[in-house]
Amino acid sequence: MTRQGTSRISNGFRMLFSAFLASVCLRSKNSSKILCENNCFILYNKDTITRETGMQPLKQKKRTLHGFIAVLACFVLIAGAMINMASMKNAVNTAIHRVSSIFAADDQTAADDQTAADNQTASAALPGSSQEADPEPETATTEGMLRDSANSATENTSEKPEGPEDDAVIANTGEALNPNFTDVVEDIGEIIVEDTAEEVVELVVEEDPEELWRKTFYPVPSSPAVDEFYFRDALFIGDSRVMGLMLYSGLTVEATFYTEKGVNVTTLLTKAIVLQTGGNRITIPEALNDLQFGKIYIKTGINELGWRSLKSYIEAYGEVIDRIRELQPEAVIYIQSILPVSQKKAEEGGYFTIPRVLEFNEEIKKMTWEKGVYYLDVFQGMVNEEGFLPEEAGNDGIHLNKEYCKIWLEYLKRHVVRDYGY
Amino acid sequence: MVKSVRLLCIPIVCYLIAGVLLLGACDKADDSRDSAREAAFSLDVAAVAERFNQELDYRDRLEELDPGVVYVLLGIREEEVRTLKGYFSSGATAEEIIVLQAAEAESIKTLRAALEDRIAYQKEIYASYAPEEVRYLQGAILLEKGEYLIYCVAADAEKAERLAEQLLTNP
Repeated sequence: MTRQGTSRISNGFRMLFSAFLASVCLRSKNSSKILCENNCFILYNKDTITRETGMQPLKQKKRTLHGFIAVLACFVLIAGAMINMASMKNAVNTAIHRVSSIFAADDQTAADDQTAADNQTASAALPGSSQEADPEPETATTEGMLRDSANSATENTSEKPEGPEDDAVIANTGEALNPNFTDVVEDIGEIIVEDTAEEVVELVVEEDPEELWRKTFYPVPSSPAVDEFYFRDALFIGDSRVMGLMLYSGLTVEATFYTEKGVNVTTLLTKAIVLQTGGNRITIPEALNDLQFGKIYIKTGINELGWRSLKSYIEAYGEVIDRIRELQPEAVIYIQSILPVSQKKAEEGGYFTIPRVLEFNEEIKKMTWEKGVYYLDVFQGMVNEEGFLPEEAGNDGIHLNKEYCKIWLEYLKRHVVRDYGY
Repeated sequence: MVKSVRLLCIPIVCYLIAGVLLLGACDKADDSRDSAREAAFSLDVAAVAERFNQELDYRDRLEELDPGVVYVLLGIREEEVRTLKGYFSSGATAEEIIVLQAAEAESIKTLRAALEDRIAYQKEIYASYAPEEVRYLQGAILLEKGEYLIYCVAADAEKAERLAEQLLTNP
């Protein structure tokens, strides 16, 4: 600090002290006279001061200004002191909280083991049952996925508490904070989050990484929607329903479709269904020899629901995936679940029933896990509240019309896997 | 007698030659008139396709397709087509409508061949996929006039053919 600055500070303190005296002297009868003799700074009775001290009006104005500043400085000092006292209080409360959380950590570890065991039981349910219905889209970053998975594991069968108790869950103390600290919790929420992140990481390490991966990405979770440009290097392979997507989704300009009515997992790669300009038809493997795609969406199943052996279907499907991956090693492969059928179609009898579709989808999901490809649960994206394909989705209860093909496309746009370093 | 016969033969032969020449000229005149008529023939492709979609009965609701999709389905080049409009089934049936105008006269053969190939391929596919659709494909109509082609697979093939002929005669 410069010499000039130091003198200013000392002047400031002098003013403050004088202001303090002035505030005291104001109550005195002879205040004006005493003030004048001590040459104090005072604002009122300007004329008296001017007369008795002979001070010039300019000097008087300066001293009036100084008086203002001195009084203002008093208030500022008092307010600052009050704020500091509040901060000190917060710091004390933080220290108390951290000490109490350390003692509570041991108790919570035992509780977490129990909740993790309960979650493993819950994850064996039907596909889609452990997922929220149409969850709010969020950026599916690694941290986000891990945190959400951990939170779902800790929440377990108990309902998530509301209000300030949310912070108790995040803090992983296993019980709600003392209500006296709720107002403090809001102020130090950021600190609590940091503590929670560390504890979440510890929770992840304890859980089986493969099991965590399965919970997070099977099926592919909701993500921020992409646009049609995302599909410029996409290939869609499948049966007549996928052909409907080609006809009506509007993606034909961006994406490539190798589809045909009536194909199944045994004919998908052997039948010449790829039409070249000029009229020549070739098989999918022949077509894939010359092209490289970034992502490949495969969908079969509706023509195989009548197969006697589900195991044969899954084995043949696996061979298709292996062959595709051999031809397109750099592509991300998505396997789409079988879409639902309408209630009217299901009631006709035969193989087109929802339980049959779900049985097939469960095996498809397991197969995708074993093959290391992604599983897209488009069934959940198209099913209504009764568990069927809406009647207005198509004329025959199986093939989708233009409107529902666009809904299907929207589902695909909102369920993509980005590079998280896996 | 012989001299009189010879005298008669000369004009007869002349008349015959003249008759042959006249007939040839008439044919050429007819051909050129037909070509002129066809060249002058004009069809509103979109309106015709719309009439086929509205006036015929279908078992599935046919949706209009983007022409780019139709080029992919038929394996044809965009440059070969001047205008095109198509309606297709969701996949539940083999019903579809394509009305197009070729970009030039030479393209019409390529486009017709592509549509004939589609009919044959659809029959092959549906034979194992949905055999009941094959009879509708057998009734598919494919009519050509000038630079225009009308292709339709509908439940009532006769009605479709009558409509096509009517539109091609009195557009």
